[in-house]
Amino acid sequence: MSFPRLFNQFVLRALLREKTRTTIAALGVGLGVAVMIAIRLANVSVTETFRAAVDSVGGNTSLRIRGAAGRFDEQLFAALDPIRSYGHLSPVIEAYAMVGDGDFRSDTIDGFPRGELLHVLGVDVLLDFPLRDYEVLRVGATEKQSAREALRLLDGSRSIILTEKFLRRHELRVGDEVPLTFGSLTQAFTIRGVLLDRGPAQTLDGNFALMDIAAAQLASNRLGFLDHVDVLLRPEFSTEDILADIQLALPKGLVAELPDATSGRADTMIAAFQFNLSALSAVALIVGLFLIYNAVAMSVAARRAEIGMLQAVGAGRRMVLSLFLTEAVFMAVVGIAVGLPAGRLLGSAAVTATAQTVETFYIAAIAESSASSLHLTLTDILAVVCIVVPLALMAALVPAWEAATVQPVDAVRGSGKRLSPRALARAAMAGLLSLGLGWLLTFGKPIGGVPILGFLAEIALMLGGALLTPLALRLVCAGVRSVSHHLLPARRTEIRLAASNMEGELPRLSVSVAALGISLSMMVAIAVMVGSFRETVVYWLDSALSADLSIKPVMQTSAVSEARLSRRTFDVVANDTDVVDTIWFGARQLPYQNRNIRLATTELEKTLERARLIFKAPPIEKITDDSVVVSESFSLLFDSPAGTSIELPTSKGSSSFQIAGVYYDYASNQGTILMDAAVFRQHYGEKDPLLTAQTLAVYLRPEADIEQVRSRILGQLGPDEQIYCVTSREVRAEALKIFESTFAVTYALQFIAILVAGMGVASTLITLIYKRQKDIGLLSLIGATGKQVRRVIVIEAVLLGGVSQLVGIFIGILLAMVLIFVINVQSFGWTIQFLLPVQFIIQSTLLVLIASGLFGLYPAIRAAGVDALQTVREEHA
Amino acid sequence: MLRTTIFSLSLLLLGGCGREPVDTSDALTDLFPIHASPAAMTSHDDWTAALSPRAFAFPGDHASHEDYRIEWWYYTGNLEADDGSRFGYQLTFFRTGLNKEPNNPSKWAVRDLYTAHFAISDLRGDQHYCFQRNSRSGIGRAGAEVQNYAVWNGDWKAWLDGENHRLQAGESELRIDLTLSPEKPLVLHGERGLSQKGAMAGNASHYYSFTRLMTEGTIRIGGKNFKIKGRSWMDHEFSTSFLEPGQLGWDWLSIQLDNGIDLMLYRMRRDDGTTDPFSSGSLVRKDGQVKHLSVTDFRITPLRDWTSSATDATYPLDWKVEIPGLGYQLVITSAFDEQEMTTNDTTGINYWEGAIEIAGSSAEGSVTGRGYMELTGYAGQGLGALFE
Repeated sequence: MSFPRLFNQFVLRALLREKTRTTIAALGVGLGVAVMIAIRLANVSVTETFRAAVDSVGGNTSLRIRGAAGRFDEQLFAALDPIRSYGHLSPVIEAYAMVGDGDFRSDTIDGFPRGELLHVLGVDVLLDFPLRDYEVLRVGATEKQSAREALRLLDGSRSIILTEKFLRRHELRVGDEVPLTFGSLTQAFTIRGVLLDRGPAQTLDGNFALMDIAAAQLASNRLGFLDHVDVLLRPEFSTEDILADIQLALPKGLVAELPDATSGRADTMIAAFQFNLSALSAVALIVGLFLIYNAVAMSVAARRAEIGMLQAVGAGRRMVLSLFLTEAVFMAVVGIAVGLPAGRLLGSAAVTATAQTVETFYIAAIAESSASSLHLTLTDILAVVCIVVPLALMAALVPAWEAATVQPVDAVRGSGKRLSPRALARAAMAGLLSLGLGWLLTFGKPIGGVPILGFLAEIALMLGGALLTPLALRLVCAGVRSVSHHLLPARRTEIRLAASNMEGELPRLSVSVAALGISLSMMVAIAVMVGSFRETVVYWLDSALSADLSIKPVMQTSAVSEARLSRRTFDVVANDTDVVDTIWFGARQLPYQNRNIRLATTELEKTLERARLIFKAPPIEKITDDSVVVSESFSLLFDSPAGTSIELPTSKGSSSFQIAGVYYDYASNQGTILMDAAVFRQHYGEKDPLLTAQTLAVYLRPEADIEQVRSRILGQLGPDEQIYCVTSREVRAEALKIFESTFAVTYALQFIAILVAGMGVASTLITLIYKRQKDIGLLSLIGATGKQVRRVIVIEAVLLGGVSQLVGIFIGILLAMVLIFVINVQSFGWTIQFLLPVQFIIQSTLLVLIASGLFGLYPAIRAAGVDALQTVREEHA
Repeated sequence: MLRTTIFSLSLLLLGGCGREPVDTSDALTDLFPIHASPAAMTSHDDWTAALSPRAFAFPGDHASHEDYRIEWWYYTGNLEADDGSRFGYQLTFFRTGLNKEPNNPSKWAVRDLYTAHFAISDLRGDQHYCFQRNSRSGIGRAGAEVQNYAVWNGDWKAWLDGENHRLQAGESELRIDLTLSPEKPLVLHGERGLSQKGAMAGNASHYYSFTRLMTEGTIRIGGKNFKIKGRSWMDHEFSTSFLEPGQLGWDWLSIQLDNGIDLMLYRMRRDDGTTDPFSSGSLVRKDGQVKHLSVTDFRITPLRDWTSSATDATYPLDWKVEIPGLGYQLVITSAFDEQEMTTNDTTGINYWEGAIEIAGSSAEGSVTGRGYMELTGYAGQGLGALFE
């Protein structure tokens, strides 16, 4: 018979006949594909939107000059004259504002402000037009140039040009005023023109504004400073050739770099966003793989007789192998067809949901604006096909090979292989070795800043767990059998029968249980890590939150944000009669060794005295002019323990600082350097460091009523000063709330894992029932009732689920330890106290057992319906 | 002189890179309810008007007058190298007040807009090179001192060195470095330096010139440095408003005759084709004595038109000049045609400014000379609209 005919008769018809089985398998693959495509779309879309924003705002810029220490003194602009022979220079202020004059305070202290983010570009409108692709709407159609309209930006200090899209969305027109909030202060800006939808105007789906540099400095509180200077080289120069020359010509404290370098550093922010999604992606893939394996195995088991007949009439091994592999491919293709559109829908949801987990509001806004424009490309589809089809083939190879190599006689007669004790011991030994290898790998250093060896250790642990599964299964079965009469004397026959049945199918079951166990282990690992982190942070918060009130601008959403408190806020707080002391704290981004770190400024002595930092050994030494205190994450990321010195970029070039101490800080994983205001002023030339303050810790008289002080301060500041004024108890509650919502994600994962586990149990049992039809038939013949047969199968289901969960917990805890002690330390630089969320584990175990039992009902009912005579007759035909 | 055209440049400014204009289609006009001119962003009331003659005091009055909205320093000249190569040059610095007292402490806040034009005419091969800069004072980027005369826009600068004016400017491979020394005392135009430009009081400027400046220095062109000698003309003018509706453009001539006489003539054209009654001129004798010429004292007649291929504008390049009362009959010819200042890439407003040759007769006999000519309002829309 030809292959297509065989395929039609042997595969297609069988698939149609077994609708349930086919549907489960295809849906399983579909689910995997959907998650994969959703994550891919989300990743690509967010990355592309972000890059497009960076590129379009960067425009034709050939290279960018910035301060070695980030923002720099505008007086240095005059020293750039030597660079002018290379090209056109344009100074830039880049800031963000909230649109509107409503209350942006979100319900959560650390949530993103409610409202729209506006990306504000402040340029010298006389100089910048060659650099960026603006198109300002003309006043009259007869005019040739857009210059005149942009020039209107010079009219007054609060002029702004907005995009056509933005104006339409808000029903605004030129000449109207629009209230904007920079930092904490809301002010009205006059709309002077319209930017057409091209170039930078497309940033954030039109939420882009052009201001004159002077107005932007004033609005963003950056008088005296520039963010960067963009350079458009003359056509005769190539950036690569002259970058070094330009670097030499620059005054001390300034550096030149390609415009991508900025986005390169910003990439680490997106990387965090994508890390979450990639983890989900991996889980989905493993689940999908398992489902395909199971489906093909089921198919092989169900049609042993047919295979035998095929071989008897001369079909070669290769033919049998091909048939089953084709079946796998077929299911994969159906799954892909179902999964692609589902993934497209899921993608938008994933982007929106994950957007709230990122550190910066800008990335969140980017992500949200990209969610509406997700689209499947041919590349996406090809990528899915190229991943899923080979994986499906791989997964199907084992059962298909089994089918192909079975002896015709065995095939027709049916014979499950038993696992010899030697094979069992060998597998267990290999498992232990693999665990050992995993342990060894945890000693490795990160490679290129990425804990690659840590991830390899995770894989070794999972493999080890999989290899130990047969032994676990065997031991559990034996254990259950021997204690059955103590446990449930009334059901001991069924229990014994179930345990024996399982022991008899050890090789088949081991694969299923291992796969289930590993997907459950990931759930356990994540739960353990989140739980441990929660406890650690709560402990830290209890110690670190010493102030009665803490005040920050509403835009200060993250460590990366640069919103400032206004001078007025300080005055109002300082003049309150109940306030005995305040400590201000400010931070800026500092480029350091290809990353951005956080340079925090504060009144260090007061901070050390009042703020109860928890120090990692050694204890702090005396603070001198060049000493700084660094966060644990900085110390670990850059391998800089206390006592060593570091070279930091400053506004004068660079200076050496002594690390006087290392403290724990869970507020940011960026790596923080804490510097005294006086030292900061000396090295970074800020005339008024208070202007850089972002938060204010307020200490009250012991007898003061916190609520009264708070409402007094808020009342005096009025509605235009958008700040949070929160008590330490509220901060603590807020932190816990964040963890609770993280747990909510874990519960969602748990739900999926349990659902998959249940489906796995059911499909495994259906397979087994096919293989054991004659046994079940015999059971019925010797007097077993349908109820008893059902009970046996349900017990098997519970046992399967139970052992999977057992493996899951064991491996999951090991995975969590590697996550906490290796991967987390290497990539975030945090110490987390390991803690077991016992309640979660008990709860999830019960759920897995119940779900397995429930999912076991279907195969159990099927088994009970087996026609005893028919199966036995077939056997002897 | 009224270099209003150029002025409008500083108001129009910058612009894209010569892109096609975007049509303000009906769909978009709803976003744009107002039609205000950028010049209207500052009220003229904030600034001092030129109402009566000023008691000039030099050298202090060479420097900037920040109370006035508009000011410029204008240098043109004809130069000759040792090998006989001839060049013309123009270097002009404009200051236009936008916000007399900006309510923003930022150093980038724009009080004045600084515009500068630099052009060289190479008479050897009839090549004209021109450049424009628009700047704010920013961080030392451009400015004009108020005490001691110095004005600059990037590395283009003019300043006083004793009695001498020093000029430096360069762009790509072109560069001038000149020292200008007065051969005659400076000349106050109009009524003791008050040059009335329109009927309304205050539509006038304070205006004086050095009509004959002996010039030495170097020009770098085509990769070669030339030591040059020649003669320059300098105008300094400041005002707050001057243009009135209906004034379309003007023709301005600076003439240095071999007999030692210098002549400034200025004809304002109205949009109905007539000559504006506020057109005027000055004749400066060898000893520096000035004779003011009113619109009825002289007659200028175009002789030949030339159409620019760059802008499609048609300029009258050759002229007949008659001053009947003094017996002058002069024929003006451009040194070469293509001396158009094109700013299509930036502001889109264009004018002709170039070296001229003069031949003719006076009461005493035949005379020749050299000079510079500016022709505005021949390309593009009417200019008066910008100053409403």
